[in-house]
Amino acid sequence: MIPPIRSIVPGVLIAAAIVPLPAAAARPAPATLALGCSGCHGTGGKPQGITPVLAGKPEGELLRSLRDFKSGRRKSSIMNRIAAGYQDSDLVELAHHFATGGSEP
Amino acid sequence: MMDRRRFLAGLAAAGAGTLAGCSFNPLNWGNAKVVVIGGGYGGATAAKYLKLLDPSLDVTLVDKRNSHLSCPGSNEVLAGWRELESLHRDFRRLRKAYDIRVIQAEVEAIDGVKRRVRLNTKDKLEYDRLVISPGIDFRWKAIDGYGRAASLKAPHAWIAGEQTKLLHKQLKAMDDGGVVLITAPANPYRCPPGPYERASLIAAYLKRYKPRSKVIILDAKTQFSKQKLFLKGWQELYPGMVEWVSSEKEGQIDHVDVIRKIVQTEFNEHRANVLNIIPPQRAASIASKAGLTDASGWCPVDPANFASTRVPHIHVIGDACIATPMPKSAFAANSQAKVCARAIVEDLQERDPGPPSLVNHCYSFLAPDYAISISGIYELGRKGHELMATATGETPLDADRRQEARFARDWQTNIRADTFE
Repeated sequence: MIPPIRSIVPGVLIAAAIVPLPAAAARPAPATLALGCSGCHGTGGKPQGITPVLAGKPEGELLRSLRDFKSGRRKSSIMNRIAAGYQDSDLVELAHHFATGGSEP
Repeated sequence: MMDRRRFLAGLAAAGAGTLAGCSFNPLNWGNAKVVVIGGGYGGATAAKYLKLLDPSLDVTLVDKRNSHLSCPGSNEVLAGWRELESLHRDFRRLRKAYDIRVIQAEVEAIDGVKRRVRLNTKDKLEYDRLVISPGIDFRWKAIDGYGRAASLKAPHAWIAGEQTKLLHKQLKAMDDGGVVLITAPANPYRCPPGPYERASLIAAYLKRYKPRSKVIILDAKTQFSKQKLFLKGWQELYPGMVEWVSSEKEGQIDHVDVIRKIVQTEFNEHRANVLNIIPPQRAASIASKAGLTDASGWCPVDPANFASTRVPHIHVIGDACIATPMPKSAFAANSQAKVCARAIVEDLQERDPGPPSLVNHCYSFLAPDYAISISGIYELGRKGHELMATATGETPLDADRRQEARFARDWQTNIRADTFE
């Protein structure tokens, strides 16, 4: 994913355009990433018991939780080490996937 | 059960777009046929997700029994908290809710050229893709004195069933003050933390009913999964009752005498009252018969889709495949099955499934209210043909073990539903 260039300095833009950047490796598709969650969080993000439901949760809430788990801001005996394995763009896709697709509201 | 329409709507909303998907097979002028061999955590998950992702597929699941007996949970039978019968996972939901044809039969041969599976019922199943999740067999010649017949005296109990019952019976019959000796194999083998969870749960039983007894683990390794957490737990829960002996100290097993219950290592003789030998393993024999194994005895695969690198149109998942650095676990098998199912569906529709993303997360109980876990997240490595872990971790040393135990119980329920329901 290419980060948005917010610079208004033309020189920087030109430099960014002519310096070849290493090709970013393709990320797994959102649907592939989401399959990894269902082993604990249930098919489509709908588990039983005390494991949190993912399906239909607000996107902002999901993304905030995932980012806080990854950064360690929010402590969990499990999710810190799980979230650490994903890139930020993956977390964005996962939050969107479960917020919009996992279940009816 | 997951509503199929809603699941697909979810995928479509996320951009996967399989709603219009229909795997038309130009060769057969019909829907693509996928045969899945083995109804454990790998095979059952693959069959279910193939149908969830593309209901037009013609999916057949073959297993030699009419239900699967779960290995996760089977150590609890030894502790006396659980009946073995509670571990049966039948295929009714797969049949009824997902329209999967389930056949109870033994596979006699796989013809990778004609793409045909021959069953002991003499039926022949043709396939466009074959998914095989056959599990393990034991290397019966690896330990001198320990073959199939010997396992009826000193059980391995490493495939749940009669062997689990036998070990449980022997533990109950043992006098207080006895020694339970477990031998753990070298890597790779099914369920790396399993021998240590087993030692813990046997200790839980002994502490309550035969407190002068002891559990000794003779290990072919010099270190083991979740080692720090297990050692800490044994000290807290079962002080002086569980002893782990590294191969550094003992060397390897020289031979076993199951009648006298003796294990002879390079340096010492160990006498036991109950002897549990966990032998070295390999992919189940159907995999080698089909030409899917390499010299290691396991099946090499492309981790992007779990396609065999040996025979085209066959995918191998679960304990039988080589997915290093993923461990051989039910969780890993379930995760591999989903990646494999999605890759097959995308490939049949001539779309690129993209790179894989895999997860493992394994709990071990040390007591009913005390559990620990290990996890790993995996994706393709830089060379593109091997997996690498992007994160691994274990339960923090100061974490709440009661909460981990609650999550462990939840996991048993949720993985069961995700795989068989």
